[in-house]
Amino acid sequence: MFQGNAIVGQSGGPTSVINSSLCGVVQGCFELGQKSADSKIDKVYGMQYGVEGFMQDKLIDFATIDPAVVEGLKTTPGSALGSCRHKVQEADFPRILEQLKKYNIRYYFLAGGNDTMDTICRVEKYCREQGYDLRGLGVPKTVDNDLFATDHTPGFASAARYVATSVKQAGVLARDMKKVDQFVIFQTIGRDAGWLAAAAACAKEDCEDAPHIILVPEIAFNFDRFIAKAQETLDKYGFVSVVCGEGIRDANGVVVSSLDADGKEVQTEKTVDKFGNQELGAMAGTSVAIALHKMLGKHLKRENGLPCRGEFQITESLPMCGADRAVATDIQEAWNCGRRAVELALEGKSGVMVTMDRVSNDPYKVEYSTAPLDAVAVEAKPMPAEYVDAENLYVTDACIEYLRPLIGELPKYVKLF
Amino acid sequence: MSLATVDDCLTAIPAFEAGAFRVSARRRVVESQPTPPEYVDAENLRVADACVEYLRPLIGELPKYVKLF
Repeated sequence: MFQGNAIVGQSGGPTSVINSSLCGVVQGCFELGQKSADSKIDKVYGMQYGVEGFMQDKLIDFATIDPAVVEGLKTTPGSALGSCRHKVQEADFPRILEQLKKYNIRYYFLAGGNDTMDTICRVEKYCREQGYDLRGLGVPKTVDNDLFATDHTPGFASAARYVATSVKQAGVLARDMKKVDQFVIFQTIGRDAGWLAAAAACAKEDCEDAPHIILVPEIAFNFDRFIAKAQETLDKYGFVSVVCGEGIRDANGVVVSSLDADGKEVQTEKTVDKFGNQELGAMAGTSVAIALHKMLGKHLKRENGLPCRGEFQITESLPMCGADRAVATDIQEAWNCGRRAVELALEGKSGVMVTMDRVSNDPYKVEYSTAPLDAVAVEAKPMPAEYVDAENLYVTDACIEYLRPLIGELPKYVKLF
Repeated sequence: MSLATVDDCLTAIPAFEAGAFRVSARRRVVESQPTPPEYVDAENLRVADACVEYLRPLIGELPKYVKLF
């Protein structure tokens, strides 16, 4: 009989539905924990502020939490357990093992992105080497949709819907205000992958509609091409809607947020996060949308030869927590992934992340599977080449076909002319 | 029916007192309405309860979320 307590934690940036995964894990442990013939889960703990809190004895015993509160997690944004970005070091392992033994934890569930999967992978491996039986399972989470081995990640669909709806609504406004302001730039999160920027394409019904230009990190930014495409769009429709991923870079690898109005690099002090990644967007006190705004403000010309006015929209973490726009399917899939992790653990599985395979697009249907943690943990998954239209600074129909079932129907608006 | 001009409106609206400020009729029609002083808690850099009371019925119920701690 394999028996002990379970612990669940959340790591990295939140999503609108990561708490639904937490709910799936907790409810799964309570409902299934005593039913298996050869595996049992006794207590269910939550790590406050991730592995960092776990090492400091900051635990929640879910037996003390009202089941109605656990149920309410399904529709509560944020990371209800508290999150962290602690990169587990070799020196942390003895302390982690000590804590696992202290609380008799045999089931270890973490919801997160590739860094989190790396953490579970290393903790599980260390425990195995030390002769401590631990079942470590990953629940996928990230609004960036950049995890390998899964069709998409829980949290992406809701964030994508947030982006698509925002760009659609702001696009209607921009079209109607084009005699006053001629361009609008919407910046999305997504350091290495352009999935969220691409999602804006679902907003477009007619050629005139926003967005007109989508800039993704997978394609090197070309200043001349960008200005030419923006001018061509302005001449045709009277306004330009641009969507950009925060991590776009030019052919030399320079982040576009470091470029001036003429597309030349400005030397600025670079800040890096705990994982050694260069900070982008608001975290670095700068923004690619502002850089693009300066370029268009200087180089775009109206029919009468006057320069253009425009605005930038930088929502930063709002798509991670816009629960009012969460996709119902996303909430359910997030819960299913949490629940599935518990089922797998009770079946004796360890060292894997729950994945989703899309078996049908119309009607949309997924099946749940697994991938080894070390296959997921390595790096971010970019958009495939066939999803990006580099020539037209846009995404392809194949990309939109992939995105639409995730985002769901968008609101319909009327036009007078 | 003829449309009223701004000057027609000005004639119809008397000057009024708003806290310590005396706002002219022209300003009331032409300029945007500032937040009344009793709605602002300048000391604590926030707004007064009276302001929240004014706003709530306009905004409606907001979603309720749970907390674990």
